[in-house]
Amino acid sequence: MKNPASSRTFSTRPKPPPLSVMIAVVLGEERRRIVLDINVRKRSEVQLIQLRGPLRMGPAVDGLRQAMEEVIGNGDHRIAINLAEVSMIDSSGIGLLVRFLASTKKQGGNIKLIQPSKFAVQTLKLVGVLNLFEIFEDDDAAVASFS
Amino acid sequence: MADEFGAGGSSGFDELLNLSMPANSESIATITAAISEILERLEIPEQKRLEIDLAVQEALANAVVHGCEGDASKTIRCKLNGDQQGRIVISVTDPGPGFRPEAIPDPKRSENLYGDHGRGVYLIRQLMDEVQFESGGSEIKMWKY
Repeated sequence: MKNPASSRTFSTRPKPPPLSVMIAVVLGEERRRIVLDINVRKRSEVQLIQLRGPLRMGPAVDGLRQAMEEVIGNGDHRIAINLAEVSMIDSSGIGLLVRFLASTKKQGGNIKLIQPSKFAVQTLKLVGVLNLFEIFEDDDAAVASFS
Repeated sequence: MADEFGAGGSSGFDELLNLSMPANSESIATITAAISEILERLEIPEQKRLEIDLAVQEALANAVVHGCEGDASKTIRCKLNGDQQGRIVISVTDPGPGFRPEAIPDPKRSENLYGDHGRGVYLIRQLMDEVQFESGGSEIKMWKY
């Protein structure tokens, strides 16, 4: 159960496109998620960020940037990001992750990744940044690694 | 009739999508969702769909950010053509002045690894089988076989 005092949820829901376009592309089945849900909670001095949806340019990356800036602005530089439910990371999302990785490391912290999908790993590897991150199988292991 | 999307002279590509939309992130999401839907109906394998999805995302993002400078009053255009063998070609066009793809720094060089941008074109080239820039760089065509 979420503790409202230590957990925050950021909304990244974009404005819907014109109805005519929606009719053109929505064919009666469930649509791909285009929204990124972000949940931030603290565990043992580590900020655990749970993401759900695509991490792509636009409201999703803007929302994560806002969440990260708030976390880091509060003096927290130990961050673990759970990517188990992130369907895609585009170059904007990658740029955000590496930028904040650099800034947290400068402050003696780190950003660690949890359960990225096979395709996310492939993407990070393609652009040469996979080895910049420590990767963990679950939240517990990631949090424990900061000790 | 000449097929403008023929790859290496091949023909038989049917138009599956042709959308012109405002240059913003909502349009990108709409177009990629539409393409994903079409590729699923064509029974394109998931890995291939993911690669195409990301490449298109990158191309559209470049069109919005660089081609249109984030001006939603401008229009980006995306076309998807496919053939019976499951080969597809996607083009993205913007009204901008274009650019020189060869001038983009290698994002995998050590001095660029922590950069927050500059990976889009590189990713597209890695994910798609063939990539061509036309009209001075304001149009990109991407093939997946």
